[in-house]
Amino acid sequence: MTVLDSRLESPQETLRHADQGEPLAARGGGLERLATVLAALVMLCSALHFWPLEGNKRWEALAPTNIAVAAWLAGVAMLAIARRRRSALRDLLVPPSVLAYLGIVILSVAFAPDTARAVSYAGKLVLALGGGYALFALASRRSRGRRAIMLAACVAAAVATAGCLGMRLAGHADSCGFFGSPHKYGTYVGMLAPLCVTWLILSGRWPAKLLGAVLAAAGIASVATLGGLAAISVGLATAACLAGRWSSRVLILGVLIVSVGSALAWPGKSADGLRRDMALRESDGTNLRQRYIQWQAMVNLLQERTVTGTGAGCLNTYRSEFYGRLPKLNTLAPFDENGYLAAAAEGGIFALACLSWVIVSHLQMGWRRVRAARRLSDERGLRDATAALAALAGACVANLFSAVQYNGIVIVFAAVLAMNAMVTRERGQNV
Amino acid sequence: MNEPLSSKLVPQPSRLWNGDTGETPVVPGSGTGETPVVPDSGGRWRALGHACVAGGVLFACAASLACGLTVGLKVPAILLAGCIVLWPATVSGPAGTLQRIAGAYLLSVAVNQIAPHAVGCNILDQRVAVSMSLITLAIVALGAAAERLGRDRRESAERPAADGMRSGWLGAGGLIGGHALAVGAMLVAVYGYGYEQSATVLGKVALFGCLYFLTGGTLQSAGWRRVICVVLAAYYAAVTCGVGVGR
Repeated sequence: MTVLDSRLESPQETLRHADQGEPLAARGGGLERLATVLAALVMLCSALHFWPLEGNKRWEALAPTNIAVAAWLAGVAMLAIARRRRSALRDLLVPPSVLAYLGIVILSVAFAPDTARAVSYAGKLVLALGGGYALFALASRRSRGRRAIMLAACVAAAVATAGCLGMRLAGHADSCGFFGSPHKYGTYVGMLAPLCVTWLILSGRWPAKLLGAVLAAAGIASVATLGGLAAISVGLATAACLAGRWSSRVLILGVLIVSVGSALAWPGKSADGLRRDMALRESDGTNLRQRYIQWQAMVNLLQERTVTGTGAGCLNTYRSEFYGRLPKLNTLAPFDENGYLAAAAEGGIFALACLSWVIVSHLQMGWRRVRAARRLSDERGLRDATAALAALAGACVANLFSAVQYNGIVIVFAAVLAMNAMVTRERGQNV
Repeated sequence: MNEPLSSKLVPQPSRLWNGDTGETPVVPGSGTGETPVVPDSGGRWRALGHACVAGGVLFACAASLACGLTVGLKVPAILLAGCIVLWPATVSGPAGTLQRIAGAYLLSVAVNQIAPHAVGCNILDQRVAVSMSLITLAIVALGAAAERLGRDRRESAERPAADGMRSGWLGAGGLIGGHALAVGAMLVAVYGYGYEQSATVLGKVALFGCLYFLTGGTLQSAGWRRVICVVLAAYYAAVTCGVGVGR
């Protein structure tokens, strides 16, 4: 473990910081408040995805979420330069695993056939994942900041699911509300639903528990993809395993079982779409789903370009050359991806190793936080840590059927990672 | 010459691996912590090992230029610029970890270029060919073994297996292997083909994972990392100038 890892990861190190009682308020309290406001704003804006100009590349690059992160980074840089506050820059550091992943993505631009596209992709990823991580890590240091972010996340999840269900009720059967792709929507809700539902149900108050149950049911009813359903299910099952009280475990599992059962059994377009997406074969019954042929194509691509990949954001340029057999039906929806294989195919095997390191190290950090909170009987800490770990478990599963590293979704992934790694330096609060 | 006698009498701290950070602590007075104060047989073995690893890097780069690039580099100047990361004399901390990853990546790009090429000979009327990437791996492995031999017993005992990237490589191998198995099985069931290329891909994942771990010790040495930096920079400068391209 590196020095920075230990600074961010270890509860013992956290205790040391807490004992030292670093005057964070004097050191950067204003910066932290600004980060909290912007983080909540980013979380709220993420619910709208690229609405209303979905498909407009310029708007997608300059989406409100990216602008907010860029503005914050620019502000901190100016503050650091103007006041020579190196501590402010130190707060922006992200773990080496994330830096390594971003570094490999940047280097992979060298192999991209379309340099402009690769630079644009890498720039957005660095901004959203690196900048977003730093923003959420700083914002979620104090319980007040975490509470603001979680409330914003609950509102965002409610807006996204309400938008999706509302559009379907209005007659647009295939609509995903503010999201153009059901896979992107499934990934988004697959991360946010476990986070918010766990946080609400573990709050201990019945109105919040009821709200959590409704949000879980709405999330599961609105996703029409295997990835979304699996992500929410795994996320909530993780939360049920980690929850401190048996009543909470039973409630989470009960909500999950009833919601999934209702979504699959309920006659309607949404359930039909879900059942269709869960089938292994195409509707003709003879062809394997193109999704799996595409996965094999990405594995095949790695045979020749094991280290180099196709270059950042240029997967589609080469992938079709590596199909073992061309599918008869061209039913592939955009972003019907596998995030792990896409990372490997674009950035090479080093990118996949770094992404895997990012996920494994943050799972370990989240698990350590849960254990530390249990040991210290810190109810609030356990609630936050369980919710963050459940969301990360959901993200890991969602990444099998979509990609968490694409623009618009990656900011929520960055938030989930940062919330698993948060270091609290408040006096008296050790986790 | 003017060094006070007392400084010679002060026992030098042994360069133990730090169990917490996985990094080699800096020896006071040695600058980068990589130059042993008193040359011993262990130090010589270590130097030999590092030189062997650097030789492996040189072999991969030279072979790549001689055989021609198999995967086109559109903007090799980016990788040339990436070599700068290897130059600073960082020994520990996240910067050191990033340097090791960058060094291993830049080397692996060269090895990836020579992977399809093989050198062979006839033994008992049988044609035996070995991929150049495996030759590079063998040279680097020899160097890593010599470097390991140079460590004293206590160093070897206290050295951690690797940094956090170990979990990353295990995860990458598991993900590729899992996908290869699952999708290969589905393809065989429906279309009657599968697995053809997945085994090769898994082998290459193992190859580059081994390269990463075997070059780790040398890339952690500031002096030898700079040697490798110069070799890689020369290689990418040559590629930028068009050497080996289009053969």
